[in-house]
Amino acid sequence: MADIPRKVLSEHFQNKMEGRRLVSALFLTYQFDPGFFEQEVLPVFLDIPLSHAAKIKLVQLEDALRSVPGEITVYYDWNGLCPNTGSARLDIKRIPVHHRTGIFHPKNVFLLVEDAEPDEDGHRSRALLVSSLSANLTRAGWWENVEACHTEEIRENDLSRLPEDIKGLLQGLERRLGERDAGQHEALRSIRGFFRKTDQSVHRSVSGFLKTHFYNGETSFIEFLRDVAGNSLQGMNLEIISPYFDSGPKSGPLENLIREFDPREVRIMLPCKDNGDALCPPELYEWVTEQAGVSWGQLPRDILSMGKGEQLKQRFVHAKVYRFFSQRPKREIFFIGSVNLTVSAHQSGGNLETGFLVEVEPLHRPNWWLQTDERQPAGFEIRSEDEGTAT
Amino acid sequence: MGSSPFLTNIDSRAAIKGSRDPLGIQPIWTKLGRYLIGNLTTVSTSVRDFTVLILGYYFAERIAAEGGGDGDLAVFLKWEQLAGYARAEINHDRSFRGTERVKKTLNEQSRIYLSKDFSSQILFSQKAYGIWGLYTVPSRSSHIVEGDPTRLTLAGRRLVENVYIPIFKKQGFRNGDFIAHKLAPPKVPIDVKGKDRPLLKAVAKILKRRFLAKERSFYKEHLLLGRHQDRTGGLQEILAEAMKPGLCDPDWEMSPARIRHLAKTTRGFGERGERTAERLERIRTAELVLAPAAALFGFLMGSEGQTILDVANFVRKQWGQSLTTINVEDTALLEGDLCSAAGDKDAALRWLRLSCALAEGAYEEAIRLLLEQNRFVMKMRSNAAPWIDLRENKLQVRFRDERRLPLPEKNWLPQYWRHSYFIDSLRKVAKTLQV
Repeated sequence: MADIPRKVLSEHFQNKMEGRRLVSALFLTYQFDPGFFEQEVLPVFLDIPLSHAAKIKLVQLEDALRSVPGEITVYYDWNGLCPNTGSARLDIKRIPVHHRTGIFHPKNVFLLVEDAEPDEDGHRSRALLVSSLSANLTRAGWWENVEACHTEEIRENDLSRLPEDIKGLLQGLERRLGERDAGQHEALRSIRGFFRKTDQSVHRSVSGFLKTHFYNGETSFIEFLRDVAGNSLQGMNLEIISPYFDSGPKSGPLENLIREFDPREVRIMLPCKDNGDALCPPELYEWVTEQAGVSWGQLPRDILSMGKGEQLKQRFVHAKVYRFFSQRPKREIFFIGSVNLTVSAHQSGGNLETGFLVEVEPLHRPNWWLQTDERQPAGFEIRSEDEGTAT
Repeated sequence: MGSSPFLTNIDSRAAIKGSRDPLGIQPIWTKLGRYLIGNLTTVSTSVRDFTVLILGYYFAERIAAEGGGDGDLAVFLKWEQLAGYARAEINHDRSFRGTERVKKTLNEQSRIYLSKDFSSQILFSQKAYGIWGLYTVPSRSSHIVEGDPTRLTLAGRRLVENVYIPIFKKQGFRNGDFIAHKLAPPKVPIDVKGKDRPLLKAVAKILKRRFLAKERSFYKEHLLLGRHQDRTGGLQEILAEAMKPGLCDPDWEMSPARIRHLAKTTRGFGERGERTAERLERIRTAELVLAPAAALFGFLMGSEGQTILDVANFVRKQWGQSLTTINVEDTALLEGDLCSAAGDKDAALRWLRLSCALAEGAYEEAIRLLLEQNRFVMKMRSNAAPWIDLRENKLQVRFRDERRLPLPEKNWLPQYWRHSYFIDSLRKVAKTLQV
């Protein structure tokens, strides 16, 4: 089995922030727990020692926020508010988004940062950190679930494939929401403004190695993969991690992926409850097992463990990963983001979804993350991707 | 330019917290447990971690007295890191806080750095989740440290000077001067395989799993018997004595029967033994209500969209017409403790009503009381929303991250136990010291 790269989400961002200070930040999420965001997520980006006492911590955060030159804004689905950790207390803009054709489902972090120490000329060079995740801004997403994340760093004067697609997302968002209050979208604009100092690359790949691309939901998911990767994805192995599926009896998005990219073999993670029940419709389960070259699989158990106790629950796998790989030649291309294996996530004009298509240079011949699982589930339960939102 | 995609690991803050106590049960069992165990907590159960703490404060004080270092906390964190590397590299110990980062660092590099910086810390927040954060309060309650700034008590200092410094000396580190100087700079390079190996070996020697007789007697006095700052009126000592015969039982686990047996044993220790037994019986009485209540609430968390009647009927099928394990009259005697633990008379009465409802098999009423209790607890806690609401008489689970937990079987209820009361902590310390 492959060595699956794993990190604690907060530590990943804390590492990225080392030696830097926050200028402005923008968060896109489906579900949003404002109290948890303020008390546990925000401190990661401010890098200040905080008291354990909630009230003192709040005052410290207020002070720290005053030192951030720009704005911090969270855009979330208007049904996605889940204030489990208490209500919002800080001066942060929170903007609900009503996505008419589906749900507002992206999970992104945009951090405009600058060096903590100026260089010899007194200049603090700036960079934009862009992350695509599967994690919502909730305790489950940020701390507990198995989620996926990828972060790209764009520096001033960089040449990359990312600016146009990211700007497209941000412009679309601003256009759709309009401006009810002055300065409502200031964080978004400052991040868009950063791209004035960067250049758009016209090449999709360099020497056959795919450059990283951002999916902004303007086209269907398949179209995006086809347009960006061309033939690169043809005939590779494909494994898919998605916690949610359509209600069956078959999976249109999977059919389309197979038709388009003709994968050599496909493995799909079967989401399960602690009691062994599969979280998918029984018809869909059967349909997948009947497809040639397609099988259900499971992540290694150690990834799912909540801790060392025997009676602990398993972690919920909320990651959305499309992993194309081949052993000869050694290639590994990921799509990491918010896209579940559902029609509303894959089609154009459904949900608003985002993500990165990233090629990595594997150190070893890539292998499967998922172990095949042919055991018949004890039972079935259907869950949909909009589960858990306020009604 | 980016890093590679990755899957997320669980955040240690989620793992440590475990239950988020939606019913406010923790203050109740803490209150009842503190009558018997005055110093330990559920996470301060490693005697060797107390050794790390003692030496951490010792070096912090020495360096501060010499006018060096970058503050007590920084010195302490560097010492804890050094101790961690020594325990892992030399003793092959994998049972301390921070093992994963230590192991990873040792696998990746032989030159490591000790510092208070995030990149050197062996836990996500070493200050909060390491020995400084978790062991200082129990060490204060055990009269190992005192004062502000925190310093070793005379007894703690004597342990270092009479036991640990001689070990350093034997290993070629006279008076620990070298270590104190080593820990003073903000960033300390350690050559694990090369010139600093003797230092790691010396530290590892002190932190090996076996205890010397002198150490054992110190830890017994301070941690196990809690003699020097006893908040229990001598009851902790009785309980520790009563635990002795069962320490070798590998199947020992908390259960109402075990606690009753312990109570029976303590009665042989005179008047204090009687009082200890009474406290243990009260714990047993409380747990026979608290444990099924917590289980039922966990079950409700997975009952989205069901009516209270549906759930009550299911519970009746599982648990029968009533919970015969609950003694309503004995539970009523806990009213004072429930009131002071919850800080609210109504909450205390709610628990008593809940015990009656469960004992009578009035499960609909019990469910309503649990929802009411959760609403009360969440309101008290930052005015937060309840985890479960009722809408059109159906359960609306707002805290969606929970998955349904099964109810314990009826025949398991007489042995069912969920909460610590610090009894397992005391037993763990006793077992380590094998008194």
